Amino acid sequence: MTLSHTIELSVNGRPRTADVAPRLLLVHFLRDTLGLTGTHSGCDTSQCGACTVLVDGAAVKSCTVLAVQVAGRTITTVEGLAQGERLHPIQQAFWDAHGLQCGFCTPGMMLTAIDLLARSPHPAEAEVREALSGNLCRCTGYQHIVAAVQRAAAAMRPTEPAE
Amino acid sequence: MPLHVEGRYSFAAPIQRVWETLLDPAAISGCMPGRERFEQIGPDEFEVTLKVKIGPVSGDGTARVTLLDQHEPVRYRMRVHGGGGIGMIDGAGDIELAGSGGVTMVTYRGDADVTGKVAAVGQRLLSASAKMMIGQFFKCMEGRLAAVEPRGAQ
Amino acid sequence: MVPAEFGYVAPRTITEALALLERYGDSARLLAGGHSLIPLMKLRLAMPSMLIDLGEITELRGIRDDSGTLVIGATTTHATVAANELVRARYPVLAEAAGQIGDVQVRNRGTIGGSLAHADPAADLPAVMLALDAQLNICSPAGARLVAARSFFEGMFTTQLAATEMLTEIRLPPLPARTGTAYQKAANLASGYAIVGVAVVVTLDSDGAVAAARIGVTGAGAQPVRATTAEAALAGRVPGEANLSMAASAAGHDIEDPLDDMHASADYRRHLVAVHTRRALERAIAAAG
Repeated sequence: MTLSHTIELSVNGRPRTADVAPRLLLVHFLRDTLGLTGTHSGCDTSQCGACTVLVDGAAVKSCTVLAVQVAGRTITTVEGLAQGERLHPIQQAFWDAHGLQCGFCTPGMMLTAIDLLARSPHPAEAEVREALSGNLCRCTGYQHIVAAVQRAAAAMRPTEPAE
Repeated sequence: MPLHVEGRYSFAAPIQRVWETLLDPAAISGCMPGRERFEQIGPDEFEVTLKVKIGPVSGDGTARVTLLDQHEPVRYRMRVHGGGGIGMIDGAGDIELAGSGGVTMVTYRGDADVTGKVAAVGQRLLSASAKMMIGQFFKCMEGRLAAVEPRGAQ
Repeated sequence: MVPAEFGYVAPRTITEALALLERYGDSARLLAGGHSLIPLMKLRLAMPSMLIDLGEITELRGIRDDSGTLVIGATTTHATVAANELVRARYPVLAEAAGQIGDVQVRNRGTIGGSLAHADPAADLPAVMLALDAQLNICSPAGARLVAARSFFEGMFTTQLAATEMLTEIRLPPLPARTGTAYQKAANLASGYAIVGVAVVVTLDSDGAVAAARIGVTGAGAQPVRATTAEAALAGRVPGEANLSMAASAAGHDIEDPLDDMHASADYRRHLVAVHTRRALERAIAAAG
């Protein structure tokens, strides 16, 4: 029985190789091994969504995924959203629409919203609320978060042929 | 958290035989789901170690089981106290037997306080698990009753 | 919370996985999406010494048509099932139920085979499998066998699967013309689990009478069941107020030993089964048109 596995994966566009114990959770791998502390550990029981990251573009709760399970995959965390100084449209929209207060749930909210907008570029309000039902916010009452996601949807929608 | 169980089980056997089987240490030992160890430590007191496995969930623990207030063959009380890594239980239940025409209806009703991990996270399935284990116990007892023909039968 | 230590292996083929399962036996667990197993391991309510990860086995994933039978690989995620065009067109009840499991993130990881093999009494899909009369393909080193969903579930977290067996495929038989389906559930607001879930498949004949009705119920008892008395109350009759309400009430009583817990008493669960059976029947009949 091997108690350490070598995994290779891409995190925010950067190839990574690490030796991990099978029981290491993805959230701990990201935070403790790679130092990417933008992924928050909240409830630790796959309910609050604060630890949401994208695995091959799909939103997942990284507290309920083993690091060994994502060998060979492409991971995006909140740190991978901005292009240098330029915020990702979802980040800009959260900023502009005041889609956060304390900020704890925000990375998870934004990554879940990116998953939604990739599948459904024109979500109705109800669809946004349903898509975010696995992300809990204890500050905002969600109103501004939903507004931010809709604002991002408008910004990300191509209005003219790509440059 | 409080755990309440109640239910009934019908045995196709006369009341006296059901009574003797339900209180027979060998039968109790043989029918406890997941029994690893069973030791009689007093006339009506046993120490039981169980290893319970329900799907992917497993846990083991040791409990002291006492049979009290015996009114042969109609009523007794069972006290259970103990636990293990996944939680502790402290409770008691009343078991009543009513015989009629070679059939005996056993009615049980019990209340326990469950604490520890299983109480904190397993509430959703705790009473159903308890019911399932009680069902397995009675079913096994029924098998023993059917297997052992009463003396003088035929 | 961190799981207890365990060994990990990620086979590439079903054959390899089965060999590993035989080798490690009862101390091993198969890992699909992990959204039931990993939480239990973090709580150390489950402590397998070896995990056999099915995530790298491509032949276990995907949805294909096999001469009219729809075949869904066991590790196909709920999100994929819910979004699949063939599923949506032919078995809308499955798309509807799969799209209501947990939340987006859970549906992106959780798998159809994992859910069925785990057999949580409050899972949604078992009810749908009963209503669709699904066949489950089970493999072991000795070979494969097909088991009807109806005889697959044996109790809480307990199925026909032996320690060396693995669920590989879900096979859905074609539905006749004029068939309507619906899934209704009373969800626990916090967890999304079904306090009661009812899946209905109704086929009407040319006179508008019920040619066949299958009603699968989950959440109500320790294992999913078919509401057979309710089905019989509908068979051969043109659906109307009288037989719909009779069937709904019969469905409540088809639950022999309802769960009774902090979320709902046994009586309330029976009531919910009746109410949701009625609603599901109305929608399925309307869809059968």
